[in-house]
Amino acid sequence: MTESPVLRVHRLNVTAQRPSGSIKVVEDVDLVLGQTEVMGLVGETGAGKTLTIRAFLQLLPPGLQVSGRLDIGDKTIDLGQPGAAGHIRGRDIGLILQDPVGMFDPLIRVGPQLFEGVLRHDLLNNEEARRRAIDLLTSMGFTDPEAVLHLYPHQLSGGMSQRIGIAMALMPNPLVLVADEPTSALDAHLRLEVLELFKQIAREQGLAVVLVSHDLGLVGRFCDSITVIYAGRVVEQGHTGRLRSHPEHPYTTALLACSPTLDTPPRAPVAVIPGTPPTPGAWPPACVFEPRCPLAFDRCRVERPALRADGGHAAACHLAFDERL
Amino acid sequence: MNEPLPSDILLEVRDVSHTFQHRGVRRPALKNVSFDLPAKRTLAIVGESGAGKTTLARIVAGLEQPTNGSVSIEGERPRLTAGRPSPAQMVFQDPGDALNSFLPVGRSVAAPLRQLNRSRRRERTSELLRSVGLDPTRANERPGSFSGGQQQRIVVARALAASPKLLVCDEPTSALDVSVQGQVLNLLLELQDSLGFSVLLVTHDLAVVRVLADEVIVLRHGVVLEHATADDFFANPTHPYSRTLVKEADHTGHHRI
Repeated sequence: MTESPVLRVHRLNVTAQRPSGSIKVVEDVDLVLGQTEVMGLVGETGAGKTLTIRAFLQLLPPGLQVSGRLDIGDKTIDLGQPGAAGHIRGRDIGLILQDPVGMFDPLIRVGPQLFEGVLRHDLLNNEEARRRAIDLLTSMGFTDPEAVLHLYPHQLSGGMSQRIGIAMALMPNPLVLVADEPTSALDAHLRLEVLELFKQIAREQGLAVVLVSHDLGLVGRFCDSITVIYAGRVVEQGHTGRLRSHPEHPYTTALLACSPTLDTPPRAPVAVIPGTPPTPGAWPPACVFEPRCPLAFDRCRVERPALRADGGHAAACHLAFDERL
Repeated sequence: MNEPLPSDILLEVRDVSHTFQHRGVRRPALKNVSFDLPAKRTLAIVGESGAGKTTLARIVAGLEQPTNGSVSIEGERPRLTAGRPSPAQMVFQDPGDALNSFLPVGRSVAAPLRQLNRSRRRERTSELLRSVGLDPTRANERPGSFSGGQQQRIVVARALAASPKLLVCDEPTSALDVSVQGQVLNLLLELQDSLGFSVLLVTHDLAVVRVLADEVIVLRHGVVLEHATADDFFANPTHPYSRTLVKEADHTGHHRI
């Protein structure tokens, strides 16, 4: 979180219209991203991670209403205005999807798919696009980028597709790269490689990266900062080292404790978070984590904890920054 | 088989080789794989993708016939016979794919129970759903209304309906949220303790191996590189490739600061 943020999402709300009334699915999410910062957006399935990033890219399905503001570079976008984010998508912000193979048109060679975006936005001409693609593919570790341009998507392995997908998102030289679960479709050893690659890109290309993931233990190792999201709200936000060594929110603590490691004793029960995450519309009125929280007390059932900051670290828990934790 | 088997060996895999053939191109997936698995034990098969792990699991479960070699479970070859559930049942990676999305989950679980009469079958289905920690009154709901972790529990309940001697688990937790992976691991541990089946576990997650397995086989390019007890494998991997695997996993170890 540097002095001049490159991306700022301000009070993002997403509401779903149901016959029974409107339901909040993302509530007051704030994100701040400095230059070359890699941020992890972490939460369980259904927590609202993907909705959050799709909301500020205005890529939500119909029926969902968004409010909030997005500042990127020197542009300000009112997210309540339909289509307002259209000209920053694929230009200032590049998006990488979960399934690297499904991202490509199977009938078109890699090259034209890489060029399409920048040509359509008139950012580069044919020759420039080709040169940029070759540069990017080289920096993604391809030894013969010229040959890669002539391949069809079915000739690529999962890891190759993911690296080409990243190159594709980098083509217009964006300020921010958003990657939605970029590693969950990949093999364990490829995951590390791809995550390492994001870190390297942020450093070398000077852009900020948002990594969306459900695996705090894994992604946490590659991020400068982490935002933990639960039931559509930010519950904790801060620098990775601090968050991992001294988590303030009981949910973060539980999330860190529940992945087994090689030090876990054999055949002993693994730590789990009891219960299941609440579904939208059935969120507890005060603290959203209260029903599953081992530390919950009376106040948690009546008063919603605000996201309080303390020296660049923020947590939404009545007990945060307190001796008792 | 000439020599008599030791009585507690449940699964015997002998010289299994498998070759896939596509448009005349032969791709060997397994080469002379042999091992025994005693009753009530858990054997993990680890290796990178393309090592042949899943092919081996499918052959053991009887979903695939090996090109060469033999598999026997309590002396019998596993095969798929209608109306007679196999002693080896499978838990797949993605519960969303493994369940019929149009079928109420109770009917999925009851499918291997055709030999029972209706009331007994309903009773047993409830019992199975309860044993995996699900509310039996939800038996009429379809998979779509359950979370990923709950769907995987349903898959486990269906596998257990056939009272298997061997549970073949192919990446049972890797499609699940980190927070529910532990729940499924604990469930497998509990059920194995109470029901006494053996487990053949296929995974690339060595932390899962540490939690569940008694023995480990390292597979690469279809060849067994190492077969050791889990303790030896983690403390003292002998093959250089195993050493890399353990070191890499140690490096990726979650929340190690």
